[in-house]
Amino acid sequence: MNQQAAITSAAQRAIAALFPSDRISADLPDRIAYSRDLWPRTLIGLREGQHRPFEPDTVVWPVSLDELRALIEVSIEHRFALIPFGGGSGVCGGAVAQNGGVIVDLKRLDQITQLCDVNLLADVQAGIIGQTLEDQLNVRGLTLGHFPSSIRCSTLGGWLATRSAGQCSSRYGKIEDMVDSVGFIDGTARYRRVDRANNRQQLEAIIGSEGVFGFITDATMRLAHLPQTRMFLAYRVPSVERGCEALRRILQAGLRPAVLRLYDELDTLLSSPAGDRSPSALSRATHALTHGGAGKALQNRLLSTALRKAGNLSRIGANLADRLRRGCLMIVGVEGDRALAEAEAAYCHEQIICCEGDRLDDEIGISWFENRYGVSFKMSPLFMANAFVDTMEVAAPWHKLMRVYRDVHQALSADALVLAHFSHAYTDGCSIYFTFVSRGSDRTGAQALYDRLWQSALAAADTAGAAVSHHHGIGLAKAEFMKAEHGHGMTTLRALKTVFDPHGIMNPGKLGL
Amino acid sequence: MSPETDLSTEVAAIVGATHLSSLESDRAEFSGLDPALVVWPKDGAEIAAILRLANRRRIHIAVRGGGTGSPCWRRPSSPVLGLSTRRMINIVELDSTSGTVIVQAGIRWSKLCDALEQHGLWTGLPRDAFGEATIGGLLADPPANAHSPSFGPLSELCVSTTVACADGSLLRSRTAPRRAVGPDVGRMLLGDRANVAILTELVLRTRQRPALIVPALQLFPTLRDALTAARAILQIGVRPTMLRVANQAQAAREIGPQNFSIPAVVGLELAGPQKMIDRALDKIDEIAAQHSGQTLPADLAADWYERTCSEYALDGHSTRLSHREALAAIGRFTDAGRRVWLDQFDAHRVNLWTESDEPTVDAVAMRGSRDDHWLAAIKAALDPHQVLLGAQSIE
Amino acid sequence: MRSADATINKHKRELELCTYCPKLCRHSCPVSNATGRETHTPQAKMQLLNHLQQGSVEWTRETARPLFACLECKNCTTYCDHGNDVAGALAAGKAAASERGLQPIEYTQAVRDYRLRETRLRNALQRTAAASEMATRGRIAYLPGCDNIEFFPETISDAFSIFRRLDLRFVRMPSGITCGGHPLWAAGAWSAAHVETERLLEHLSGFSTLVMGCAPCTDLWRRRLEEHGISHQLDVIHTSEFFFTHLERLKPRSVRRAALFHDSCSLGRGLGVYDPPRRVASRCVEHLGEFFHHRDRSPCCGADPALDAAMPEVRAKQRTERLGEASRYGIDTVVTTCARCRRSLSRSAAGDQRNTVDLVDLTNLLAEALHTENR
Ligand SMILES: Cc1cc2nc3c(=O)[nH]c(=O)nc-3n(C[C@H](O)[C@H](O)[C@H](O)COP(=O)(O)OP(=O)(O)OC[C@H]3O[C@@H](n4cnc5c(N)ncnc54)[C@H](O)[C@@H]3O)c2cc1C
Ligand code: SF4
Ligand code: SF4
Repeated sequence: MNQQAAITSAAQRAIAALFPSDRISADLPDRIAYSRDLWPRTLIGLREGQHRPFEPDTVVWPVSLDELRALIEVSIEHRFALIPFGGGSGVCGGAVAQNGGVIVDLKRLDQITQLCDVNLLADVQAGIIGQTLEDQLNVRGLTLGHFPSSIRCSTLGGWLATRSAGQCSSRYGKIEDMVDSVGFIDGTARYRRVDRANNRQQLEAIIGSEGVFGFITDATMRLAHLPQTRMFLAYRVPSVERGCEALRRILQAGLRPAVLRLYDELDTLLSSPAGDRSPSALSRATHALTHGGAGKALQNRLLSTALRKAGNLSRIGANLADRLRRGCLMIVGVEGDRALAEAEAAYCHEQIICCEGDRLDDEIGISWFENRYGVSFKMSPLFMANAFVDTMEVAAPWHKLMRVYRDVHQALSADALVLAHFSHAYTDGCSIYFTFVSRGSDRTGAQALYDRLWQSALAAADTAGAAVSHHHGIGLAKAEFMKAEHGHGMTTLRALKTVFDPHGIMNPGKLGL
Repeated sequence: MSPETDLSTEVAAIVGATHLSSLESDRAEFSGLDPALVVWPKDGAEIAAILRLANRRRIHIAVRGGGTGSPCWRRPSSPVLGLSTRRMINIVELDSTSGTVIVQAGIRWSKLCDALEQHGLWTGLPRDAFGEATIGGLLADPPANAHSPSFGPLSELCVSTTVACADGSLLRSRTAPRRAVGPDVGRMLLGDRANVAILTELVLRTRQRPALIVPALQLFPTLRDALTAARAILQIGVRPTMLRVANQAQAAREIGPQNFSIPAVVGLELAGPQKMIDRALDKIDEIAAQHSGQTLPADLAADWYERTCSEYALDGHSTRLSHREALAAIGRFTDAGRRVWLDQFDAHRVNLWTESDEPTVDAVAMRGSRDDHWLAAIKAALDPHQVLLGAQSIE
Repeated sequence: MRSADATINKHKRELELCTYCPKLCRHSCPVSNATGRETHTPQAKMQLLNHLQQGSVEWTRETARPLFACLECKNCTTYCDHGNDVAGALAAGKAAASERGLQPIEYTQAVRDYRLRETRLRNALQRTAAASEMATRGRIAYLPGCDNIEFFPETISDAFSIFRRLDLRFVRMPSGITCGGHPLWAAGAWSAAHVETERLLEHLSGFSTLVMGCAPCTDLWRRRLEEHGISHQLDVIHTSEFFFTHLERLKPRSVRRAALFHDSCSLGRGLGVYDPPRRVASRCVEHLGEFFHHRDRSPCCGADPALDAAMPEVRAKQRTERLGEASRYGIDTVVTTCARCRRSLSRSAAGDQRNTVDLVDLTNLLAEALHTENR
């Protein structure tokens, strides 16, 4: 692991000379706020009083490429680490100063600099917050079509750096499908524009590089018109197998509905956005699936059991689900031109019916949409109740998918409550999004259990042939699994590192580099 | 023992004595290079072994696929080994559930398409478009027309790769529809033109052969109308598997002489379930009408389709432009006698083709350029002994 | 226990919810959006207050400072499924810091300014108002608010012209009052604010209804004083609500072609008053349009004198974006209900583009609409 020397006072002075006092800070509140991203492991620590897990030396907020370049030069001279920081919503410890260094927050670079509604292309600076970007596009009748659950707390640069995926990925693609070119400053302070048409190889190298090669400063993004119509349909399918078959048929026929989500039995029962103010889609769905009021009560019972005793919970949950034979909830969303969307919906309907799906009330789909970001509000109450929750998203070809589902599920189930859904489908495969809830006895107990769960789940995914991440990235959390994922490809990655960042100043320790 | 014999013994030990040659006729395939030997390995392991040998002996390797491209090698001073993938033509595995197929890099496009058809699968790109090119060659140096508005560029076909790296290691990337595990190393090496690695095996994604494939042809009063309509069709969300726009001269070529005037056409191919196609066709008619276009009869569309699928026009100069740039550029082509056409559409960009490149000089200036500095740096890092002779294709 | 600390304790659960929250409202905070600072997100401010309250971080001037990076606009609450009152908790945090003497200099200055401007405001009021409009008792007290008195005196005469139209001869401005005291509360000077409020109550003892031209003060007097243990018998309404109840008698005519309506945080998210001002405004313009973000999602104008002094980029950004949106739609009138918003959006900050949008108070607009009809 790269050990960075603590920043010298000469270095501090050199950095301070570059930034006005309101855009550089080593104040304690800043060192606290920037000492973690949203890696749940650090939340477990926080609960036990470890409130500065990865404390940076300094934080800076550059407003121009010139400032960034000057900073890199100082960093090369004085040998300290630079850590790009977007929204800090990453869940893998990617944006933290593992061994000190300077956090470079890019959120002051937050403008749409050019927008063309003939080409449907926009030049956007990397630090813009996702929802702000989407709002500014919406005002002009446009959309990026990228809706990760973290849209309110993540940035364009972070999305590109981690290969993020949004809830409408089957229509609009993942972020790597939406990018036309990026502006990039590498670890030698060289700026370049890397476009799809002429520098595809380099673009592939930069997208997903999690800041270890340099800073993504801006990007030209492909846009779409705001959809004329949006429709949601909901179904109950008997099993994940049948549900996946329906997903596969739809994609392989060449359709691209905006939303395709399939929840496994337990996720169907349990997942519902918290929040007392809005009746959630999934609690309503659960309601519908349990023929009446049992849903909420059952959820609460399961969750409270989960919090009392971690072991064998899934079995309890699964048995219940089995006994009640709830089946799996599937949500389909189509959008765009009305006639085309209706045809798409009709075709999806046929395929799902072929896979023994039963149509449920459209309201379930609509309210899923209305509460689509709600599920993350569940996080705090779980941590407050001394439990922890994390998610793991893997991807595999269709023919390996059920094995991956079973094996990972099994690896986690002994010590956690496990829910899963399938929300990013492609012609050739799909991702699985596991949510696991558990609790340990004390801090070290909880963190040890947390680490163990990850180890066994990742090993199971790897053995079953899945990619260990579909859209959350690697960060520190999965760095050790890079070798398993890439094998000899690590040599290529290290070569890229020496080309882009020969001095090793960029985000050390991440991506296993 | 001469150094050549020495080399051929070592190579023969890897590939077997019958799979190498020093005959003039075989060496001639590597035009202008004059390799000492030509070798036909059977798989990636053999290629990797050859690369290790090359590193040890400080010789160079030039790679040849189907022999349809026009590669241009810089001729080095030290000896060269010509490597051809012509024995690597197997379909290693085909999974009809995922629609994924693992193929060796030397399989020819037409053979691949035929094999897929037997399993009810297709690539979405015309079978005859790329003649006898190999999949490895196509992906290493994609021809400009290998693109469909619905599937994207040819590289989108590729899920993952196995490559033999210059250092003689074999790198197999994980097969998953999408990954977020750092840069996608496997796919990064596509389009590499055998600079730092040799593609040996590819996992391709295919689709079920659609129930229906329907061509459609729309007539427009001006090229500008045609281009604007084509853009509107894509931006509203219709995803044809093929889309072309042609001016009068090019249309005359694609459709043949007609007894009425054809100032500009939009030609499309739609594939998928019947109902989806019907709705898409309605939408296309509607949009065409908004731009003074009209639908041409089905038999004419069928003729056009037949012709363009078998002989994709490649005899010109193409520039990738944004739609706005393309609109500006076509404003210059007032001479209807000169052929102008556009293909490789997406909702944002398009390729503009002309018979000669001088009218698009401005447009060319707008185009980005390849970052050769970076490519050289990567090459230096991954192929320190410059074993691989990367090919530049001649445009 | 200090009173502010006790209030923080009431927010205990909210502090915890925010501490472990994945920042689900961070895009909505005008302060962190302008500074780009993670430390200024609602989540981080709440986590910090949690640490301070638990003692895991020590109270110092440095650690207290981020608590003051809040406009109390409540936009974050709109996006919080827990409905967390971040503004309320941070207000208590500011007060707790001030009780320890740890407030930033700009906030000390704001408290000082409150006292210094009193004479100035009185003089201004005297210049504007007729003696007959002032009184010590009456049925209805009209409090235009400090910003109207100082910067937009025409609002006061407009208000009286409307009262006269309604034949409401018993509306008076209580003498001895220029400001409802909100600036003191906002600066975290709770004990000074308590004393001031008691003084104001004495001056108001002869009235039964309070009609206020200032939205933050309306929120304060109608809702928040009670949270501070101050009770009174006054009916508190905002001018826009008052005019709305009399709308049928007023019968205004459209005087402008198109306008956009800008919600005040206090009136909107604070008191849930969205429709009455719109109903009045829509009678005075042909097309009353909405900003992309409106009602409970309406962004704050960025008005808070102390915060503006400390972090001018916040107001500059809010203003540029709000007015930029209006110009993009080609609309040159924006209607507000609060002098704070009006001043904040119209007063250009250093380096800002010049404002081509006309900001009018609903009172001015209504008076204009009635005046036209007269002619
Ligand atoms: C509640 C919640 C829901 C989520 N839902 C989704 C989801 O639906 N889909 C999804 O894909 N992800 C999701 N995530 C994960 C996270 O939001 C994504 O990984 C996101 O892309 C991170 O963006 P960010 O701006 O917060 O980046 P950060 O967390 O700040 O950084 C992530 C990594 O990228 C690097 N980086 C950031 N900006 C730059 C830049 N400009 N240049 C170079 N490197 C940079 C950092 O150094 C770090 O390594 C979720 C997270 C949370 C907490
Ligand atoms: S106010 Fe709500 S959404 Fe915002 S940080 Fe707190 S808990 Fe999260
Ligand atoms: S009340 Fe307004 S300023 Fe304060 S934290 Fe919430 S959004 Fe930010």
